[in-house]
Amino acid sequence: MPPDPPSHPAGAVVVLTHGQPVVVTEALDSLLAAARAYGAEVLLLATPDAGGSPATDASPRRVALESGTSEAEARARALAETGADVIEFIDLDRAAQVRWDDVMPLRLGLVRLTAAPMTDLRAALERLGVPQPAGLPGRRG
Amino acid sequence: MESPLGGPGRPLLSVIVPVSDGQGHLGACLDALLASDLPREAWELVVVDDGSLDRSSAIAGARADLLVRVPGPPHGPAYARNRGVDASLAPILLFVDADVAVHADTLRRILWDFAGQPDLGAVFGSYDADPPEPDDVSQYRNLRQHYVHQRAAGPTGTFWAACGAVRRDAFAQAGQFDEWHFPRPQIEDVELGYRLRGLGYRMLLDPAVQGTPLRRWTFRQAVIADVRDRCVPWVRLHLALGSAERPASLFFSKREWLNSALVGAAALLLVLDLRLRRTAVGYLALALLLVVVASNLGLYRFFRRRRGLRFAIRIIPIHLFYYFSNGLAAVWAWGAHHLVGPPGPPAEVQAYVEKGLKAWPPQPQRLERGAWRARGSSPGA
Repeated sequence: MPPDPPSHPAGAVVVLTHGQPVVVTEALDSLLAAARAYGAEVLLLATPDAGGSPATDASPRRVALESGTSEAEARARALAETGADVIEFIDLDRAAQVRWDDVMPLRLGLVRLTAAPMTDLRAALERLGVPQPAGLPGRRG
Repeated sequence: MESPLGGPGRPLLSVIVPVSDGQGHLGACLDALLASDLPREAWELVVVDDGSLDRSSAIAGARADLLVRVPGPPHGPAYARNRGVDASLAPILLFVDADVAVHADTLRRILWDFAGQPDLGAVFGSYDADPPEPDDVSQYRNLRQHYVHQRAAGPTGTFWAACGAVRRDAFAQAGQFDEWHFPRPQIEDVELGYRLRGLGYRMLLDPAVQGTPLRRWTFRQAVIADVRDRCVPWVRLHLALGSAERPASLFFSKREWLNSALVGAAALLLVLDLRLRRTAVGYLALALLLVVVASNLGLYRFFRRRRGLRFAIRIIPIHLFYYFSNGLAAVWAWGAHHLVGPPGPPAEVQAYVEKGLKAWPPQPQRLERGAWRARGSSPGA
């Protein structure tokens, strides 16, 4: 017999606050909208004093942590809280910058990324200040 | 996050670590990756937990950017890596086994390999020469891998997924890992390399890309891995490919097969000697073994440099047994190929696919193209 369809969310995005105040959850609008659209859940790991805007339908699920909780403990709490099979962990400031409309369907396997630009790789590494290692292999063959 | 390549939230490199009940080494593996000297915004860490019953998920969850939990029984690293690729974002995919601790410069080196050679399809490295497990079997197996890969540095026609990277577009064009034929750790990486090579992609063994092998091998595990999961599937793959498509191999060169044949002949002669009591037959057997040892002096010298003369001498019987078991495995694989044909997936998986049932996790996928279709037969047939 085939297994029943999964009853848990398709995926989860765990937002790590690292104890910093969550002043505006509106910064996560893109994430929350994408989560709604694709059946994912958003968990905001925050200490009780982290603050934030009043809860609305679009608010992330808050997982209250005690002050001084380490990141590893916070992540473990998130794992225990979600039944999702695809779980992304991301810092609060980065979560606000990702274009989730593009990224979430990729993460959930709804869209397969078969190609990505490669031509600017050298420039990208130089822009990031990544030094070229000594003794790169020769261009044999 | 605007990535340097322009895509939203897109790193340059996706590091994909498949794990199945790997709690023993997973933490060290991921910590080594996180200690990499490549800026963190340039890469993402994806761990695929393939049905673990131990603490692998918890260990991965404490460190990874993305955790993919595959429920049910393990589907094998080919399947797990493919699911990791499906969920990842970067144009370059690096596969790292959960019992390998990469060096701090590994990620950076790999990116620069690709940056410096835009036509490169894949790059991989080797174990380093400092395996921590002190027992003879682990040292032998891990050091032998280092020796063979270091000697084969440069352009190559194969791939190694314990620490190997591939361009996403090449990976997609090749049809991903063959999760259909390889439901456990076998030669799924080698087979992918053959398909990449068949598509015309250039591959490189960069000897400076290294990782420390953390796994401890017992003699029994080593024999099973060498015979059941490497030699037998490799021979069956090569028989299915046909002579025109057989690329060279790092471990299964003509010289190595000759050594297996010599050790097999020596074993037969020794049995004859025991039965016939003809001393000359015994001497001939010893002569054949000496020829094999002589042809491996470079390897034994390397062992001596790393672990001393006594270790190098102790290893010789293990190495001869490796040749012997490979010879037997080749005979077995030849018989299986001619009697049974190419291997297929487990019956349960085949039944799911034939019925067209969809489920999470997705069932292993049959390749649209692939080496196993050589000679006109369909994969899994």
